[in-house]
Amino acid sequence: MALVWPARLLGLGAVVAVLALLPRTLEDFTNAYASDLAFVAIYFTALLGLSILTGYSGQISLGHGAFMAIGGYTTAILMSEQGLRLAGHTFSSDLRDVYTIPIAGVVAGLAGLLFGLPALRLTGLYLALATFAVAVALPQVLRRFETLTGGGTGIQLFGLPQLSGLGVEVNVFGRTLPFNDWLYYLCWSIALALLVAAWLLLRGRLGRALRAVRDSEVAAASSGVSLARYKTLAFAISAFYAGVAGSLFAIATTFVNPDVFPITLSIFLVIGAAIGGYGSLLPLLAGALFVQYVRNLGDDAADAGRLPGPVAEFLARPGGRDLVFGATLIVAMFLLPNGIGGLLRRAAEPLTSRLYTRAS
Amino acid sequence: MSALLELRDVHARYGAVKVLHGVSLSVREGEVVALLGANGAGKTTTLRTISGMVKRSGEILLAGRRIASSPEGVARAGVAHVPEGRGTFAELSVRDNLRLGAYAAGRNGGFTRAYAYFPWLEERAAQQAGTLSGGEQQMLALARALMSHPRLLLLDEPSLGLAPRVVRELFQIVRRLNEEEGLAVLVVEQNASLALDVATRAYVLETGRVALEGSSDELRANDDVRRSYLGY
Amino acid sequence: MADLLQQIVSGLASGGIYASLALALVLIYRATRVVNFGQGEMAMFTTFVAWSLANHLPYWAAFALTLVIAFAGGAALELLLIRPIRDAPVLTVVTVTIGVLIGLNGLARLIWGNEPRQLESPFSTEPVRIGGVAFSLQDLGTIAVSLAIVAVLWLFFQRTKVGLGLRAAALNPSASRLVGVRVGAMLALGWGLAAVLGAVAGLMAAPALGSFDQNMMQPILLYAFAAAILGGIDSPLGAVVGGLGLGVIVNLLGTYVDVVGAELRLPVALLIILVVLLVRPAGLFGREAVRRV
Repeated sequence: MALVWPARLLGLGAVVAVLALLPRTLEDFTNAYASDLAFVAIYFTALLGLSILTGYSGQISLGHGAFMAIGGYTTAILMSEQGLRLAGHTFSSDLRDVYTIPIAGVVAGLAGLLFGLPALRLTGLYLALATFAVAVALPQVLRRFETLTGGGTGIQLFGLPQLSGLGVEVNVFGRTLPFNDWLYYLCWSIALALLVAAWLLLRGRLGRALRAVRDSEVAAASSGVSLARYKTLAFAISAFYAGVAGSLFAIATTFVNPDVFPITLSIFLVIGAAIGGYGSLLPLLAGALFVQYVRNLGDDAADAGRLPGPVAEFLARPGGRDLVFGATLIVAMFLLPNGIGGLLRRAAEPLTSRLYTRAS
Repeated sequence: MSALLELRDVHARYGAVKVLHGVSLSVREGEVVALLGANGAGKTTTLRTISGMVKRSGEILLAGRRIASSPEGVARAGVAHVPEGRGTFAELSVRDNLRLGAYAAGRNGGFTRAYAYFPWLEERAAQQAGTLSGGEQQMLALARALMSHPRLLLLDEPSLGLAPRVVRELFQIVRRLNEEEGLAVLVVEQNASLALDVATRAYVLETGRVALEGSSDELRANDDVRRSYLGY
Repeated sequence: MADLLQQIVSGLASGGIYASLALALVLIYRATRVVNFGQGEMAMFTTFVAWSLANHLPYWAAFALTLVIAFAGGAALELLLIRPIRDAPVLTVVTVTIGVLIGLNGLARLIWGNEPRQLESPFSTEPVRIGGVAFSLQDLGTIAVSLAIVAVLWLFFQRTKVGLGLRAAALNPSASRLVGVRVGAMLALGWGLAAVLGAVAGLMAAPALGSFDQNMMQPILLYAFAAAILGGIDSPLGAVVGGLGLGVIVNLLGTYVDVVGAELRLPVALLIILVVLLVRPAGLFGREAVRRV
């Protein structure tokens, strides 16, 4: 275990270094890369939440997109003029309204707590499908309750419909940044801060209690771990992460509507967690990259230009991209049944077991 | 007499843990052989190895031919294995459990033979097997084994957790099967005196090796066996 | 009153489709302990196969041939994609079935293109009058076909040796191998049968939908999940009762409760199921695992 922290800090350092270098080295970073990479950070944040829930407490959620939606709508309602009017206030919304992000996380976390309480009665598969049901139902519920959510049209975050990422500049700490660059730094700062928070949270009592619950509920209960408390707590923390991710998602897309958070979003999170490895944290980066890039392979013209002609042509045919994505996913699961995290753990095991005898 | 079952220098392991270190033994046609030994000596593993449930090296011959390496194959070759815990299909009816016994045998001789030895099964054919008592489930397991018309019966700890009266009844039936039908039996048993009563020969396993072998009378007279397994 | 009867029959027709697909999910769950997310797309794919065949063959011949192809396809999926990772964590296997969902959807669009298709109903669209109430023959036919396939399957499981082997293999694989059941073959067989059930669901759903495309089975899969959970994921009887019940409830709610309308049918159905689950955590017919805490 003693090797874990140096390895983690090394990994974190490497990630920070790469993230700092990318804007300086990639050509046309702002227009071609910044936004996509911000989405990687957003998926990564949501995956952290999912991995805490499933990998540490053993509860399965197939509906984390719903908590993202709650976070996203919270931010949208707080930031949009329409939402502010609804809340009875009139003050101008501004790009500095990032204060809504933690609020979105807390609201989603509370929703997770509320959902986690009745969900205590459910185990395994039934819980998984209950969460799935919530995620399926939510878009239609959002569509229906128009006064707050704007119905099918949704809500524009920054008031102006024509405001999309390009050409807009943001003032932060006295510097002027293009919107996309700002998004990139914002999303990654929050994602990495939450990664470190997860490491610290799971290091101590909480992590031990959650792992005990995962490995054997009976044994955990008989050694004095309150199952109900830790299972709902895991749900709440996990939903908080998803809520923050949803809030960033809303800011990145600059609007929300029911189609922004479809059930497929929840499915993609499951895929990302499987690729990264349940119970892993830093390796979830691989899952986030997979979800963002493999799914959209050859989607934009720049990508298509880099791929060999017949491949790009195949990907452009109806269904071609999905076929490749599905097949890649299956092959990845064959090669890495425990995800990248499992692979790293196995690679590290001979080393750690040679240096230390495990104290468990 | 020729050997029906023969193990030659059989080794077996569960993952990294080696359990059998070169076991050699044989069961002749029409013979009841007991496998004795302390907990963890490898008795159950020996049976599981014969049935192809454990990875092995060394030779196992059934009637002079190499035995199949999968449980399905061994069952189809005429070996009925009543495992530890009886292998009852608790959710299925008594009748379906018996039907499964005949699964490996191509022909279905019907339930006559099973009902002849265990008449009470017929009245309770529709009952869910999981609702039978432990002794009844052990009887059902034996009846299920009979359904396949086996050449060899492997019995794992039949007396485990049963009342002495039930155990006596059970061994009575095993003896009758051997005497009336010439069924060959390899039985693993904690209760050594009981096993030696019904067996013609026996092997004593210690930490994965055959430590002693001989006729039941010889073993009963052996001081070590008396002290360790018979308790007098 | 007549209207209510019509709505119930129409609900039973959708319910029969949900029940078939739910039963397919239950079959695979019992055998492999995995919820097969690819089940709906497998059904969609076979429906497209049937559409291609129906261009050259009479309807019922295409129907029968489709079921054969579905069986082979289901068994092949088990052999190629599920068996190699049978020792992997359950979530990994579930993720592979998600890969099947996405991949099959893509493959079907690659082969048949994006435009919607029509599969004619084998049943006349003329209504029949029974006791003064007009029923759609299409609805009655759907109910009959769904119930017939369930009945045939039930007889197969109860009365045949292979059916017995399938049940045994699902309940206790190691004891099954000891009595000579080829558990591996049973798994492939189970996937094949599940694919057949799915194909029937797809073939019944296509004419009911009017026109269909590659996303036709996705809402139906959701209802089937709901039905299987409602009945208890390891209970075949539960899947059938759950499917039929859900079909009727959803249809009646959508028709008679204004707030629900067309949009909120699915959320309301799911809400009902959540409530049922909170009262009976293993579904209506499921066995609750004994947990002592």
